[in-house]
Amino acid sequence: MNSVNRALRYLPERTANAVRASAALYGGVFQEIRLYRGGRTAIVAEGKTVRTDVYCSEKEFDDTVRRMCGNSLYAHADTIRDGYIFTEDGLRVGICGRAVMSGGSVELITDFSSLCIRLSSRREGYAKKFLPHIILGERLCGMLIFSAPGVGKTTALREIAAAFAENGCGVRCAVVDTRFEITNGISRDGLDVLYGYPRSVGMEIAVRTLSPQVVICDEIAGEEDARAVLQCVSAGCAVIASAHAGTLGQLVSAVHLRSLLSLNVFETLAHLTRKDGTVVCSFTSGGSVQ
Amino acid sequence: VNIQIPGAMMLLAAALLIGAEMRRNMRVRIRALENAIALAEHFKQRIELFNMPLNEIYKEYIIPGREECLSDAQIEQLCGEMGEGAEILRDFFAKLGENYRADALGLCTYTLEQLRKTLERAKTEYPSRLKLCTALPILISLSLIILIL
Repeated sequence: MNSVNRALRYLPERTANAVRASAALYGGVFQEIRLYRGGRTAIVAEGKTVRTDVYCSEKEFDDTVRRMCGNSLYAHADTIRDGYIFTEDGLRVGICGRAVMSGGSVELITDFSSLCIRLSSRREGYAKKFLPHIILGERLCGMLIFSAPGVGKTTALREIAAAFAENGCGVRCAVVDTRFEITNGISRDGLDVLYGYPRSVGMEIAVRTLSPQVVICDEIAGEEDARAVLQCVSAGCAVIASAHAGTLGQLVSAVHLRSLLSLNVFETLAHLTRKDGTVVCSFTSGGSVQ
Repeated sequence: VNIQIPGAMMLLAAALLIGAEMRRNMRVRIRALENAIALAEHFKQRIELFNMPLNEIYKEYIIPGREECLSDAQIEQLCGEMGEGAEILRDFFAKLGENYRADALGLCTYTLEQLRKTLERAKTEYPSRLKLCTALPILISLSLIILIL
């Protein structure tokens, strides 16, 4: 069952029908389904948000959340606190609500108000664009893939991981899959997958115990992650990671990434943009932004 | 007279059977309450130790004396056997998955307390009810026999 059908199973029937009808306008290809408690359901297709005419009632919304949690909210508390639900069948759903704070940190989220179901997709052959910049003869090079949200960073990482797994490149590859997204729907044969580990912890464990040549991880988001990347590179691993930034300027202005870029940790920077509904990838040498 | 004596015998036999059935129901109820307590304890332990989702706990649990793993139908059957106290178990399963861990564990503790109290009450009442279940149908049948004869 593909991710669209898996996602639609959780939705109320009339909402699922509305999503199908809206998606049909884009050839059935879309990236996200967005549900708002008491509001109109929307899909994201070709980078645009398209609202349907169907409202999701409060009860329908609450039932959807309950189904996504497998009727076990307590078992999903940690991921909900981090802003998402990971369903039993591998969907990642962003969730918004009211944060209840305790001692300066988020203790739990309540009064859920919106859901963003992100549909993981495979783009066969997509990795071919990236691999020539990663495997240079005998040498493995690091790469930072950046783009605005929703363009396809995780898809790119997934395809690169799949290429290492499926093509038998002979490269020892560890994937730190903090949010269960990167390896979702791909073969893990030949990959060391650290599933659900915080990035910094996962990278440290990978380097210490798995002797990887390449470490793949998603969304370098803070100083701690940046330190872990540096630790990996110092240990001789190539790191392939992603970061949120719409432009190169925005990337350079991110404080936690500055040190990594100045040390030329990533040999290649891959910038993903969406033009006329298709994803365009441009490559820059990491050294050029020092 | 020919009909009266067999009729009286049948009344007595029916009284004995009714008494036996009532006693059996009481034993079944006590066993059901014990099973419900074991069930709630298992859920509490699995949530407390492993944060296990409900569907996984369902898959691994078998009520003593049953062959298949736990299902909603089995829970409903257990509730049916429990009589008083069934609502406690129904509420438990209706609300358990809607809560975060602390509240879910609180609900487990509350449910266990209530079920234990119900079981204790049922066990305390058991000897006196046992006598009642034996004596009452016989006495009624004897009264009827006296009236008939």
